[in-house]
Amino acid sequence: MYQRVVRWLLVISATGAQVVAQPSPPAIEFSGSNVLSGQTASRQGSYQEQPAQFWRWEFEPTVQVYGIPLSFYVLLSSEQQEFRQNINAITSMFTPERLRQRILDRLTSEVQSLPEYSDVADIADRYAEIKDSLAQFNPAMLERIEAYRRIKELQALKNADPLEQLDKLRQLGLVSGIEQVMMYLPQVQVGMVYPNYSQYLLRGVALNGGSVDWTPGTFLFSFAGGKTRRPILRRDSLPLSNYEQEMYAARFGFGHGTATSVTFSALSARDEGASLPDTLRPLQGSPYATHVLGMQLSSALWDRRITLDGEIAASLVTWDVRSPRPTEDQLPGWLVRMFDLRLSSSADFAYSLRLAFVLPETGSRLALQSRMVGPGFFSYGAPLLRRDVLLHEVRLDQTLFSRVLTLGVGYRTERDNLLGTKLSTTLSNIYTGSLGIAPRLLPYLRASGTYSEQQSSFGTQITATWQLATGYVYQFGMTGGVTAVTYGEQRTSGWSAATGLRSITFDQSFTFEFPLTVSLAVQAGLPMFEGDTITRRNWLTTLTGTYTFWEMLSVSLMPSLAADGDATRFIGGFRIQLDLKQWGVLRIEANTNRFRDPLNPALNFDETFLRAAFEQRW
Amino acid sequence: MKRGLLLAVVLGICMLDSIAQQPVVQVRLFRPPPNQLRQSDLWRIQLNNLSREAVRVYLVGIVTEAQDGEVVNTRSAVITLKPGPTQLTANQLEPIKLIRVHPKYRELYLRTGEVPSGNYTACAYVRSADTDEELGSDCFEQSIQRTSPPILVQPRDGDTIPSESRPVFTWLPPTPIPPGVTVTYTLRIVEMLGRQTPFDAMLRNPAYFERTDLRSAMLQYPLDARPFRTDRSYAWKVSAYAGQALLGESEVWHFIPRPSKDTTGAAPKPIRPTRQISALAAGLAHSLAVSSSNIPRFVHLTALKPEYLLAALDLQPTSAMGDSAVLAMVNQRTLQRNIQGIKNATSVGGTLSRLWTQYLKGNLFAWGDNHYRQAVGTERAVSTPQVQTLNDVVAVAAGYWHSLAITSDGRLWGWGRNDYGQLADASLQDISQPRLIPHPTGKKFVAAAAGERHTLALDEDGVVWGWGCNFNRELGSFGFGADRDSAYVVIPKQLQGLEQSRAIACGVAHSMALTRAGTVVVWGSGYYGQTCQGPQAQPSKGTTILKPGRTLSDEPLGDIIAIAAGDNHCLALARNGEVWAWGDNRSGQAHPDSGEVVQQPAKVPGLDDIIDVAAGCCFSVALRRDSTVWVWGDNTLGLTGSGNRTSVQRPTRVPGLSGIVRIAAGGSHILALRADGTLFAWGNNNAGQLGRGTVTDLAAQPDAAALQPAPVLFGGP
Repeated sequence: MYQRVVRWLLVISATGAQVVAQPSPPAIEFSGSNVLSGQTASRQGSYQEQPAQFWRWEFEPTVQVYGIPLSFYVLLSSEQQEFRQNINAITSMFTPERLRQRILDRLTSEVQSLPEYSDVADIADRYAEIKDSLAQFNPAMLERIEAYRRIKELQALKNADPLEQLDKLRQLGLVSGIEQVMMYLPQVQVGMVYPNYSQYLLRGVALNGGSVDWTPGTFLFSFAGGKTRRPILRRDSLPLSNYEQEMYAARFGFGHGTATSVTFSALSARDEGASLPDTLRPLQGSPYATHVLGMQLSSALWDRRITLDGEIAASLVTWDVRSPRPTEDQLPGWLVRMFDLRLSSSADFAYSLRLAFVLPETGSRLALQSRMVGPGFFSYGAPLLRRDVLLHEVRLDQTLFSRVLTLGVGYRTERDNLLGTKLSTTLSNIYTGSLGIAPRLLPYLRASGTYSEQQSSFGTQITATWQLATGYVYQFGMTGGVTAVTYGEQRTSGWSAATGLRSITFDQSFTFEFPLTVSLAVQAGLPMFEGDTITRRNWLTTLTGTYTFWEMLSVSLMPSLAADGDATRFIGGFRIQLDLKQWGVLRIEANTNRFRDPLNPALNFDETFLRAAFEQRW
Repeated sequence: MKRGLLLAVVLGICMLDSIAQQPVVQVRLFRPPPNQLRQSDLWRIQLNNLSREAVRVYLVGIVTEAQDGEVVNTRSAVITLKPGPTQLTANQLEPIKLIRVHPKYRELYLRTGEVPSGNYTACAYVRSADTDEELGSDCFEQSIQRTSPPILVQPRDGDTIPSESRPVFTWLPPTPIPPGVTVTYTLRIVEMLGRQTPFDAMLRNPAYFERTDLRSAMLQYPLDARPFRTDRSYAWKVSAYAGQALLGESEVWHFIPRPSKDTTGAAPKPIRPTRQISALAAGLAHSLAVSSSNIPRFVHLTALKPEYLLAALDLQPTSAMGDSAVLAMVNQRTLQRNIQGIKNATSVGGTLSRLWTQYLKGNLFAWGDNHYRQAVGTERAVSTPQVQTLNDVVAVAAGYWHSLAITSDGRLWGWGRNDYGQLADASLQDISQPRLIPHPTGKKFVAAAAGERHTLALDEDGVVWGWGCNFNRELGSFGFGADRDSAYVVIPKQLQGLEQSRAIACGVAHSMALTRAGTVVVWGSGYYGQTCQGPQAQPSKGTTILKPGRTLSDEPLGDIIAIAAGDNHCLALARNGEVWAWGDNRSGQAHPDSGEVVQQPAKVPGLDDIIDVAAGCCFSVALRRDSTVWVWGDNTLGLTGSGNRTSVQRPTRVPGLSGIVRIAAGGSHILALRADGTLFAWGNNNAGQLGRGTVTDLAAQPDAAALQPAPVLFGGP
């Protein structure tokens, strides 16, 4: 590490004097996109919270300084609601990591030009002997030989991490001094960020703050922090209120980018109890605090034929940060002070282990997984993680005959109630299978099924879904066609209400492509819901006609008629796309939607809505 | 009177006793949300000291379960209650002492912070710290039902679903659910915006669809709900309730609606309008086709670099560019791909800052290997036909790595590899855009042929011109003399003695010409017998002239009307429909039942009524008058179109292909044009030369799908 820092400093000091002609990209480049979209409708859609009228603006300008993109992302929407978390987001990103890919692309491009030097390949080995004479008599040939030798050296570096070979790449003129310095800088994001550390610790949660990711060589350092939620007081439903929440996470790893890596992570998140009025406090949910420690291991062996991924994490959760502290006879005082433990605090853990064998030669893949999440494990970084489960799974996938035949079988067993917190333990056995046959120029066949059996002291619940589908894609003359038939069954029976659906669906579509692109699709289904006295027939017909004028104006008409039992729906509309080239693309879609249900006229509606979007990329 | 006094005293005592038994402290224990009970809930409490004096008290919290009895018994610190109501905080009650904890609950509490399923009564008692007398109390009952959350089943996380159809959402119910408990579900679907994750979208966005009070664990998306949009992803979640109590929430999954035709599973790729193909050529690994359809083009001229603009406009730099007569013939997409830094291009003339539109004919499409820019654009492999910046094309030719096109005005254009001057450019640098190769005397070219590194062109007078590599005397010694042969020629040279030619062809290192008299002339490398001078013949300084009727084989050579050159073999088509072949025969590409070299033209058996021939690297193709295609020779890359890879020495009909009107053979692929305009391609696809939108190296990774003819996907305009 010390050497690396010294080398880095040397590079910085040398940057000013270094003149690198070959790879230097333009000092500053601008690019980006801008999308303004919106909708106006005569009514709010059925079952929707989305307002009838709204607009959105997504703006993503990027300035590249010596190839390093500094990006901004802005999302603004009028759909923002006071009683929800903020949709609007602003992020700025400095991502020198992207430079790695640019260098790799450059390297690949250089190596691919090697055949151009085939005329000097044979004599390049005698470079030392002939160098002087060539310099005198045929300098052009000498130049080609040297270029060839340089590319051969680059070829040897092709599979290495650019960060590990920066000095060499710089010597070979592939990387400039500025780029070399940039490669050592961390990736920084400020604003709304989405750090993703691991499945148990931090995954999918947005932070309004910032994040830093730094990968010097095989090391990894990351930090993220900020507010995850703003306080929201739902006077209409106090339990739905939430406190302001802050979260901080960090990780350190080594072996990053190599066959085996280990990463340690930590997360601390806390609701701010004072962020909601005190007077309503008793009626709200309690503010939480979570501390999570985790370790991830990733290993790839035998040219990635065997991969092993493991994670273990422990959480310390305080379910009410305002509850009293425990006495020292219950927990050590230093522990209580360090994590601000309360009587409502608890600790639990989770682990997962995944092992996969992949044999590309035989098209085989075997995956094994074991996972446990304790009932008390909780991380605000993965708040909807399924808890109280012990799971083992095995799955085998096989492809045969150049992927004409694919087979997959799997088995999973799950058990909950690991600590006896429930009235009964549920043991689930889930069997899955799939078969696909896709011969060239012949109809395809796909079958898949899942059989799930949940056993508890209250009885057995069986859920089975399976589907059989076949279809054919064909072309005759100027017409392309797809015919498909699908039979599916989904059935649940047992302690909960028995439900079932059997359906057979027929799909037929034709596409005529000249001079007007016209598509006609018909879908007819016979869904049979359990308990219905009659079989409901449903069908859907869509007709789409598209024509492009002068390569800039595309107009589509797309009426569709659908029925479900006695209910019918007609959608008539058009879509226009105006390609204004460097000025952008304008899309307009207008629809009129007419729904009629004779059995429940209260649901009938007529609505029209217009959607428009203007998109620019530069 | 006494009795009255006694009664008043008794009543007074009773009242005092009654007052003494009333609670001094009013206790209000706040009930936690449904289905939740923690130890800390015992201290969410409000006290009201009803007396007029402050009292010193401590609190006792006791939780009992209907079956297990006392679960926890705790005691707070002593506090002083002033008269009136007090909202207690944790700090005031600390330290809390655990008096008793039921052993069964201890670990559960440490691990989960909650109590298990059961029916609980939680009570808080306020006792006097001085007298230990109970001053007040409050209790609540709470039923706890611990269940696993609903588990989502379909559509699976990340699934693509047909947008037009109404998907069925399925999930597993929470467990365990005791008999008699009715579970209801809420299904919520939200759009995902920008960089949002599914969880984040669920937290922030209004519902695109929400149905509450569902009784079964599945729901088909209703007909009266707005259809899903194909330009969005959607996140979905299920919450389970027992009455008002939340039993659990599922994870958040997402799905992506797509037009239904994309999800049928077997590559339902729509084939774009068939083109009116008027010319075809196949190089080593690239393909060229000329479409005679009218294609509209427009381009904003100020967006072009001057050199491309001039090329596009077919104008010399000195030409006056009025704003009424300028024709833009450049495809915008091609420009975007080809012109680096288009934004930095300078404007050429203020009068050109407007859009120009014209319908153009003879558009040239190119695809396949583009390593030397011999196809189009800058990508190394172009897997679907793309428009080159050239139109009004009437003929094309493709060599190993360079391409040639002749426009209707008789001008010849070349681009691609130029290491031996095969594009008649003395810089020997590769040329990425079609560049004019002027006729030395201003005549019009009518045909061109391209070999590995040399080029032949035929002008309107029947004169053959050649340039490029001449190592093997593929340019002959015409005009140069034996001692003045050049290794390469960068200026078109007239090949003497071929003034009356009507067709030309180039192999790797040999050349052919067909004269108007029906004579076939061969020169260049004869190592494989191409020049009919025996095997391993040195490159011919002169030519071998095969005249009609001359007996070089057992049968007289017929009246030849067409010729073709493979890498090292030759084909000649006679007017009577017979095909003659000679040269390299190591893969049986010339003549069956012959040795590795066929030294003299030999009639290919099994072929009659042939109207066109083409020769690839190591195979031959013939088009029969009945519009069927016949192939013989190397088949390791599936050139017979039959799906197998066994080489065939005898001509074999390509199955399933009829109505063919034109053929072309490349290094290891074949193009065939059907009468309806559909262009079929099969064979190797290692550089996208089949135009199927994919690149598949068949040699390394066998793919049965590529072994059969399939239409070229004209994705471009």
